[in-house]
Amino acid sequence: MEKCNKIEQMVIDGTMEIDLVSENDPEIEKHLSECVSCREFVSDLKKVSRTLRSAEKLSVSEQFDHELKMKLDAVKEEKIQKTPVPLFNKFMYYASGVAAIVIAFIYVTSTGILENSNGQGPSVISPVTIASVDQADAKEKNITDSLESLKNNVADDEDMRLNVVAEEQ
Amino acid sequence: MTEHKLLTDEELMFRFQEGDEASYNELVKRYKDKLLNHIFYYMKERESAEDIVQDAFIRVYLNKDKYKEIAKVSTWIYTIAINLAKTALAKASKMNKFSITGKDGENDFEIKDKKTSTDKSVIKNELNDVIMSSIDKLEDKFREIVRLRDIDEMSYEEIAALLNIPTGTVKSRLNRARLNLRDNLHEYVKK
Repeated sequence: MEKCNKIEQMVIDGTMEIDLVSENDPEIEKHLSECVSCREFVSDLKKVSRTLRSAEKLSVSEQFDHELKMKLDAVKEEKIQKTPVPLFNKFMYYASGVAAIVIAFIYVTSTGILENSNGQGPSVISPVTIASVDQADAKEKNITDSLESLKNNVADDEDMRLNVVAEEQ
Repeated sequence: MTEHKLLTDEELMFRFQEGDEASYNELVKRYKDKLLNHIFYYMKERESAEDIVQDAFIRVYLNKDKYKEIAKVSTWIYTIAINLAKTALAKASKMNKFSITGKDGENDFEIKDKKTSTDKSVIKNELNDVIMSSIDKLEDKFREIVRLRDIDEMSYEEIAALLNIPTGTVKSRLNRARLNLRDNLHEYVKK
């Protein structure tokens, strides 16, 4: 007798769920009640499924939950450290820095540290600078003296000219 | 916590997204063993399988806001864990190329755990070994589906979503895989 493969073909095609085969349509149920080979086929596949499901299942170890908690805590900690500063706080951070610089500048300028005697901006006090200042003072004195003597000479010349004019008259 | 037991995975995920950590703990409770069993088949080593499962739950925690209700939570969690396992295996495979000792020799000095000494448990261990090796002999496309359906007891729809294939294909492949296993497990199936 030729082996019937009606159910096998349906199973292979995926048109039948072997786990729910008895709940399928009455026509299949009728066929199964009459066909020994198909009944055996269904029975075998159900047993395979049951055998696979009877395989011993693993359970996580006792430390699993504790280890997971530790890993999570570490991740949370890392996340907090990496959390970006909110925009307002960031603004406040930079604004306070700028304010500190402005206050320091106002204080420094008010003390006059940055201005030299001619009020021409900052200068650095060093031996070389002191020498330069001395030279400049000496030069200025010379110029003043020269101007004074020139002034005297001009006055003398004017006196002489007035005397000459008076004698001619 | 009792209240959480009554909620679906998706409801728990939604609550977790709102900041309820107890919902996250319930999801961990529901999936830790299932994931371990599934990932163990990839890693073949309990300790590394547990590490992968823990890492998967950490990813779930960190990426909770990325979960959208278009997929089932189980599909999302399994996808994360499977991807982590595959990445770990790929890394291990690269490392093994530079290793002096081969993979076959790794467990030569391992002492088998003989905690269960009764005849029944010995038979059960033997059956587990036969089941595992029989599944391992299957083609990739059959192996995954058998594990998901008969070991992890996922629904056809969940498997279809996870593997991104039609439900009909899941059923067809599953039955073909069972037909192959029928021959390998013949002795045990008839018992």
